[in-house]
Amino acid sequence: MNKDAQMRAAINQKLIETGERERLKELLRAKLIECGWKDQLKAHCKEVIKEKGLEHVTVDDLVAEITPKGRVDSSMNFNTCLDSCSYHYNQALVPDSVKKELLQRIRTFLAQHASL
Amino acid sequence: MEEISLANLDTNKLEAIAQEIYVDLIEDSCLGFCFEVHRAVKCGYFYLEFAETGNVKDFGIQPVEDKGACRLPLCSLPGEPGNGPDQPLQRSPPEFQ
Repeated sequence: MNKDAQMRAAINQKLIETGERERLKELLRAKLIECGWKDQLKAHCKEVIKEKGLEHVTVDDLVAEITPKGRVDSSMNFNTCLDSCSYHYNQALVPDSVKKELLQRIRTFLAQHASL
Repeated sequence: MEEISLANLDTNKLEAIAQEIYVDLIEDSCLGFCFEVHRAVKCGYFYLEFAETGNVKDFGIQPVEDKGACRLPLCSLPGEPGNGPDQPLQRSPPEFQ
């Protein structure tokens, strides 16, 4: 394993060991519900299920349709978005404030655990 | 395992790591949501929990057929005379008294 990969693995391990990853997940979950992310994705799910049929929809269908929409934030633009760009450019579901707060918490964690 | 120090990393690299962790958390949330929805669909409570608007017909489920006025003596529909508590109750046949 090269040094970079080793470092990433060590950081992930520390995140899990300290419980910080779980806390970050909970914080993110609460923020995404608060900002209406979950509601918007629910509406999109309804469309997917209507299209595929309630009895036939699979996890793969939902992941393929929902994940690209759910991960979009305002930093994505025509050049960086890997999916249908014009759609996603206008559909930033993750608010900047949520992203900033998460990133700040992560940076604080990295600063506090400078040696792993 | 030798100790790894983040203190020697430049800001860009640290920022890239922070972004990766953030993206990982978002992906986790999306996947978790997909599994929640799939479970709700397969266990039959999707339209109760996730689809607050619309009705079951939107999902290809036939609603229970409306058979019209209930004929039980104590039931009534508004505006329909002849049903409901106004009707006198019948005495039970002698063999059941």
